[in-house]
Amino acid sequence: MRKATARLTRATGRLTGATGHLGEATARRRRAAGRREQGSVAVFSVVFAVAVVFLTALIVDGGIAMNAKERAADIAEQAARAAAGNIDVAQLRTAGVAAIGPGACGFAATLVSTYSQLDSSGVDRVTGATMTSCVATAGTETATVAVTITTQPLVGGILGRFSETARETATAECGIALGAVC
Amino acid sequence: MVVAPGLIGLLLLVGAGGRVVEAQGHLDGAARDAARAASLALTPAQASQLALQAAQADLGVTSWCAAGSVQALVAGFPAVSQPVAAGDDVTVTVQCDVNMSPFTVLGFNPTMVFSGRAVVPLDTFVERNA
Repeated sequence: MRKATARLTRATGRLTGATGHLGEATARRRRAAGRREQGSVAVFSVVFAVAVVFLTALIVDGGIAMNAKERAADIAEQAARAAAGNIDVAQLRTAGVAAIGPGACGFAATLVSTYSQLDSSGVDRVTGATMTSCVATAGTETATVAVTITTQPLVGGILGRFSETARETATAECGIALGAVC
Repeated sequence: MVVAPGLIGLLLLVGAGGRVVEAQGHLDGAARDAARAASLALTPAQASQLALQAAQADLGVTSWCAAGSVQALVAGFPAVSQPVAAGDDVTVTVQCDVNMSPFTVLGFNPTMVFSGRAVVPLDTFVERNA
């Protein structure tokens, strides 16, 4: 009797199990469809995140490079002005000509080094400004200075460093501010 | 969705980066103009005044600077009765409070102080402090 009951129970169990099996198959199909959608969201998120990180690098490091370009132009311009401002006084007195005196490029180099020391902090920090060329021949009126600065990337490893070069000229002239005759 | 706030945060990060870089560029430009204005002054007081005027003219309502927060510090301008030697220059530091309130979610302070600096050589052949 006990065996029969047991067998009956087992049979019932098997029956329930079979019904459960049928339900599980449907559920598995539904779960499989759900997994396909969840996977697509994950792929979208990853692609989106990578794209946005690239975009951030483009905006931040590209923007820093654009600022650096303007800064290089200003450093070169002020260095050229420093060189052109070194007027040969003796020649000015005898001939009345505002010509560049000897050693003008030294003043340009001093200004570039003073300026580059300011760029050690902040978003626009650079590895340093170097004067790549300086033409300020004694006796002429025009000084030309070229400056290169290298940026430090904020979003590392994507776009990397930028080197920005600018070449500017300055010309020594007499009596601009007060209209005096040389 | 669970990831939506993260994606919105990433987009905010792009905006924050853009604002930081643009504000820095504005301040660098203002510092250049302020330094040039200061170098043309004839007295130290006038140098500070001209530098501040130039900086405020650059950092107007269209910039990210909070109103009234623009400062311009002049360093290296010769004091009264001090002669200018060849190679002397003037350094101007311009700073202001940049509004970062949309990006506080990302951990930014509501305002960030930005500063830009520029150096301009002084003309030896100008009679100053006369």
